[in-house]
Amino acid sequence: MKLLIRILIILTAAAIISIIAIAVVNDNGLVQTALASLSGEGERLRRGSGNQDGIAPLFGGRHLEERSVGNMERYGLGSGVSGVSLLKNLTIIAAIVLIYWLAGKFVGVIRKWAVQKPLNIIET
Amino acid sequence: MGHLKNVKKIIHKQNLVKLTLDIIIFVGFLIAMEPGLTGIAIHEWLTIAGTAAFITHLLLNWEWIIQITRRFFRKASGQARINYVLNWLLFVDMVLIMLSGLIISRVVLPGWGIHLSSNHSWRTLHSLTADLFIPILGLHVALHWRWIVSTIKRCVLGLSPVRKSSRTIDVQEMQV
Repeated sequence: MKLLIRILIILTAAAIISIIAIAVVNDNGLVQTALASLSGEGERLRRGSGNQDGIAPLFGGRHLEERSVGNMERYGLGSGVSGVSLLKNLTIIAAIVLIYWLAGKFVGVIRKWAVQKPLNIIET
Repeated sequence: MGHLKNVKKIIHKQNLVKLTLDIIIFVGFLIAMEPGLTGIAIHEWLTIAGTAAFITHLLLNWEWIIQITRRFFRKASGQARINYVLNWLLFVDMVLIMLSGLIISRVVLPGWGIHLSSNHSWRTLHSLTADLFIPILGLHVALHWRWIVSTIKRCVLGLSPVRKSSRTIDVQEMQV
């Protein structure tokens, strides 16, 4: 029972976030434009050119979906391209961990020095 | 004394389960983040399976979530607060990845006969949140690095922990 309630709490939180996201993304033209801009399609969207059907296919995603499927076929299994991205993600995570670890060490050394210095002065 | 030994044994076992699950989630998500390598079908199914693992991860660390939620504005340490906010960010990001992924799904939902009308914004949102997931996950791992190392040392390598009072508190607070 306890477990079920906990799962329900997690799912409810997820549902609330989902409802807000759906409301924002589907009904807000501004958000759609911003997202399109972030994906590099902003210029095309503003100009409304590049598509024979105007900007509608952009929101419908037909052209882009076709392009995406094309990419999938091109960079599919065994192409060797995808493994690079996996390695890249792993490298980013490893770099963040390393930077955090080094920063922790650095702060530790500084703290030790800050405590040790006044003690040395008192001793002398 | 015997009771203490039993408690230690239980904690040891729990940490081992947590660590194993975390490693599975980590590797699973790294693979799932690479649809070009696996193909769309594996990408979608693996992510759905990952969600179940992710919920289990939250359930295993439920006590920590409740503790820090209660203490957030009062007694929680700065690092625990940062960790808590980061975990919420990770959760929201995860939900957005799953939601946008389901909306633009080509295998799972169509396979069940469900066809959702998606626009390009959902695809962009899926890419953006997935890109954001990597650095947040990196920070999450970094904040738990001490716990990961100490758990591997104690539970996998069988080494005894180094006794440092302040660190012990940190490691206890740093779960999830």
